[in-house]
Amino acid sequence: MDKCEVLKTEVLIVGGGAAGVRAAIEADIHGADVCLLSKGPIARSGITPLAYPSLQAAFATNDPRDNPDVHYQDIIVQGRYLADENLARVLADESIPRALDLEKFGIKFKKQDGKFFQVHHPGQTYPRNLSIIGGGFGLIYGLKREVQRRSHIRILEDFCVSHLLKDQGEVVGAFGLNMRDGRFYAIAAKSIVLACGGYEELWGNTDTAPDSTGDGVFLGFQAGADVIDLEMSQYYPTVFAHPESVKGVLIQYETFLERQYLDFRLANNEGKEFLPEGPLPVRDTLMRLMFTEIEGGRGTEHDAVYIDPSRSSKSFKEIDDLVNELLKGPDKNLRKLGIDIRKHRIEVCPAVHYTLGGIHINEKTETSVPGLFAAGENASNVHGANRVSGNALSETQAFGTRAGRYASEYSKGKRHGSLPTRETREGIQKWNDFMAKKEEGIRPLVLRKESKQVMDRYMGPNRNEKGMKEALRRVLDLKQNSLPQVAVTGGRIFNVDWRTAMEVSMTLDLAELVIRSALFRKETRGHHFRPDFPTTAEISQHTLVTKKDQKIEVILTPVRKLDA
Amino acid sequence: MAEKLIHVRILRYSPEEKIRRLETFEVPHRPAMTVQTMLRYIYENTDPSLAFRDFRCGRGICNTCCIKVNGRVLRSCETPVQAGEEVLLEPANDPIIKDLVVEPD
Repeated sequence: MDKCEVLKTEVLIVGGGAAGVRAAIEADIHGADVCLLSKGPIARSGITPLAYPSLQAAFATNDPRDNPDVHYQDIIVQGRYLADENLARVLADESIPRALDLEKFGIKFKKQDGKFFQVHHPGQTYPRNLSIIGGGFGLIYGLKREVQRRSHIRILEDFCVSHLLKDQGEVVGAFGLNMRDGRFYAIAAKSIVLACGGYEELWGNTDTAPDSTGDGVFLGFQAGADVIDLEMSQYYPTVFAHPESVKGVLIQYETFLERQYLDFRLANNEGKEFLPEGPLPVRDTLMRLMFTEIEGGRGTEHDAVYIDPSRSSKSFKEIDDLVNELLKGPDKNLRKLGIDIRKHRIEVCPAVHYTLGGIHINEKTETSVPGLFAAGENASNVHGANRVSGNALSETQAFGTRAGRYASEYSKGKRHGSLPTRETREGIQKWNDFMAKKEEGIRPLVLRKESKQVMDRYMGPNRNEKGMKEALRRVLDLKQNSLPQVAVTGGRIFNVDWRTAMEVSMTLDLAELVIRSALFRKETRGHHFRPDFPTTAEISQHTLVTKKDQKIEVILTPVRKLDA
Repeated sequence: MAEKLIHVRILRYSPEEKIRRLETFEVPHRPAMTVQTMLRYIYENTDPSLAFRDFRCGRGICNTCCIKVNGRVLRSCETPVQAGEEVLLEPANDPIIKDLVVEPD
């Protein structure tokens, strides 16, 4: 049997994005011994560095009528009444002090006359988005500096956690592969915070990072935690579909399509415009119209539609001036690749932007497993069936901080459980099986591509029972017949195929849970559109997936109302 | 018509054997190809053992994908490659973990 290194900590944080790093800082403030694991280098992996600069907090600098109560109402209404009211309340109340914490850590915001500059985004009653200098990268880079300043926090980067370890019903540690030395590690902990981000990588069309494989949701469910609303994934309408070098890069559609800006037009493969006359439709309508073209066979060869500059009402000079004013950075980068957005039509399609579902938490970030906490995108349901711009980064800070505090409180005065040898052995076995010789070896990226095709085809925002049943059949077939044939060759240190094999096994399990949840929600709400159930149920309920005697069970459960 | 090729030499490092060696690949050129998508092509089609950081922020600020291209450290996600070009790729800095993967600054 392979050797397994053993480490010990009090609070173990899994995930090096904005929520995980904030949790590590807070647990350290509360005096806990902390270990932080990140699948890639902090600030150079995961979703946070890709985020746009918006962080929502009701400072009311532009409009004195704004306050956390209005922020809360906006979350509830825009979330189509599916947000957990107590979690939404935490987000609305605590984004203000958490933004001030960020300033203390040295993260800079756009200011005007010494006050936060706040802009209005759709879904906000009053202008409420702060703008972080340097965007998501500026945020995570600043948090990284702060966590590194706390030199007794142990940080392991390029570390892929594959199993949580339990003893007598509680989590007592985590197991995984350290890519940098190719060794297995079991880390004993008194409490664990999962902050691994979303599961956008189940799909092919995403604008997030390639490592967003939902590890936290997988690990939580594997350890026995309930997961909710997994069918809810938020799309962004316009993301580059081609060429490969820019595929997945988001473009802000308002700038391209609004009449007062560039006034470019969306066109199908026949060159026909397909949006109705009049104002630009709102986001979900816009997406459905785009999907209708693509699914109706009128898309490009890359399953996209065109943004066509040739029909703009603006002169070339006006376009050139606007591009210089609003899109200077992206335009410069694209031109290096020979793409001139002023003249060339570009291919765009809707892409998964944020996953609303995840591990079921309460306002202390506790999951249904003792000792296990979750924060950020892998925890749910803070936003409901639709998230307002700016609330994702606020969420990382409000809930990351809470997770750090409550996980360190939980671990105080507790003794380490004993690490289970059977589960550790199973972990080693699972990794090593990928390295074993197979009759007809399949590279993990081949299987990844196949499962993404299934999800793109049947599990977009328009989904019906027939398609979803077909998706489930195919995902189960890939799990049962293809996954055992996945074969990895080469050394143990930084073997990307090896990590991909583990990720694919996680995403296939998650895909099954997502499809089963979506089948169970027999209504249309937010980003879950069922042509076979086009109306919205009067009472909103969560889909909840739980494990009973190793069997997956989906149930409906009421949305929690605000505590009096 | 023959496919237009890019001639790539990569300075690789095997952490198991602790050996550095220069290896040559030929890659068919694709529209708007960058050093990053060229490396992805090699990893996906030619050599599964090639290691590099396939991550980009999409806005040219995170520097995760930095690689020494013909002697200069550049962001591989926004460095175009042309058909017929000869390219030498080396790790951006020390310490090297494997091939073009380094511990970031």
